Amino acid sequence: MFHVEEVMGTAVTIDIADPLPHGTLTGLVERTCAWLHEVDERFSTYKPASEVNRLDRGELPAGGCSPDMKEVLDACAELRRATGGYFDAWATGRLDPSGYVKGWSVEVASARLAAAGSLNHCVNAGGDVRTRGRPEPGRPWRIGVRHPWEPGEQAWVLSATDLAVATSGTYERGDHVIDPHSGEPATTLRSVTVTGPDLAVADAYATAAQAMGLDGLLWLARLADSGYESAAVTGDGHAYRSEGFPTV
Amino acid sequence: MRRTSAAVIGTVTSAALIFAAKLGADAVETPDTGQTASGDLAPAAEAPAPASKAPASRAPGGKAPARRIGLKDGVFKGAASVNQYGPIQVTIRVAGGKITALRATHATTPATTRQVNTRAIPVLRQEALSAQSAQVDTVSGATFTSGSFRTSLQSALAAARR
Repeated sequence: MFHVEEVMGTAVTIDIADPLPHGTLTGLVERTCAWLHEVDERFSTYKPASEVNRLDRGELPAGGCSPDMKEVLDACAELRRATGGYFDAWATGRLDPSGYVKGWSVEVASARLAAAGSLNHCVNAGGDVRTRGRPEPGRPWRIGVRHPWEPGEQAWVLSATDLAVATSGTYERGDHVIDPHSGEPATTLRSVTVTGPDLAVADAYATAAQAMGLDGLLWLARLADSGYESAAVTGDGHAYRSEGFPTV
Repeated sequence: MRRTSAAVIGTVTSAALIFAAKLGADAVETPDTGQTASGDLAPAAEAPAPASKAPASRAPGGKAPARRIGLKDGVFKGAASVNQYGPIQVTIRVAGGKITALRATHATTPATTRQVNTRAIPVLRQEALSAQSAQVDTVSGATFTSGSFRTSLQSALAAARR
C-alpha cells in the first residue's frame, strides 16, 4: 500500500510492501499518519499552542514536558555535543528542534510499523528515508540520492534492506543551513547525505556536516567508525563518498 | 503498483539540460597524520580520468555554470571543528578553481587523542559526480516544502503507482 500524507510542512510517503490484508494495511497507514500529525501538533514552531512554543515561552511548569519532548530535548543536547555545536536546536536563539524531529518521528513510525507486523516498508518524509525489509521478495530497496542540480536524476543509487538515509542540501529551500558559529549561510557543500541505523541521527549529522563546510568532509569520514556512511557534493560539483557508502 | 517512479521522473525532466559532471581527475588525498602535522600542503594525487560512463558524463552547458559557486585560488584554512577524536582543522589549496591539496591536523595535546592521531585520517573518496536516471523505489534529497514542485511530483508518483 502506498500513501502520501501532507504533514510537518512536507509530503510523507508511506510504502508498505507486506502482503497483509487490505484492512490491516489501511489501519497501519492511519496509525502512522495519526502519529505524524501528533508530532506536528506537539513540535511545530508554526503552531502557537504547540508544546515546543509553550516551552519556549516559559509557559510550562518545571517537569511539565511530555515524555516525547524530554526525549527529543535530551537527544538534541547530545547531538549538540557530538557535533561540536554545529547541530544546535537553539541556534536561532529560540528552541527549534525541527532538524531532529522529522527524522525522529519517521524512525519511531518505522519501529511502530515493525512492531505491528510490517517488516517490509519505506517511509520518506520530504527526502529523509527509512527502509525496512524488502519492496518485494528477492531484492532490496533501491534509494536514489538526488542529484543536487538535476531534480529528476540521482547522484548515487543505494541498495539496502534496513537503512536510514538523510540528505541536507542548499538546493531546495535556499541557504537555510546556518553555521551556528559564524551566523553565515553554509554553502560550500551543496548536498550532504548520511546513511546509518537511525534516521534522526543521520539527519542531524548531515545538517551538522553541511554547516561545517569543507571541514565537514573530514568529520563525515570519521562517522564510519560508528556505522554512519556518507557522501557529499561541493558547490563546485565535486563528489565525495565514504568507502562503505552502500551504492549499488 | 510499484516501480514506475523513474519513468515518471524521466518524463518530467527529460527536457532539462544537463549538469556538467566533474571528472575525478582532481582527486584529493590526505597523507598520514605524521606527515601532515607540519610542513607544506601535500600535493593532490594525480588520478586518471575515469572511463567515460555514458549516463554519468554530460557535455558542459545548460544551467549549471551559472549556478556554480566556484572556489577562489589560494590557500584556505577552515575553522577548527570538533569530532569524537578532538579538534580537527582543514587547510586546502585551490588552483584553477579546484581543490589541489588538502591537509588536516589534529590537536595533539590531550593524552586521549594522541593514540588516535597516529592513525591515518580517514577521508572521503573523491569521484565523478554522476547523473543517473536509474529506476529507484524512493529518493532522498534536501527537504522540500509541501508547496513545492516536489510535492506535486510525489503526488503524481502516488497516482501512477496505485
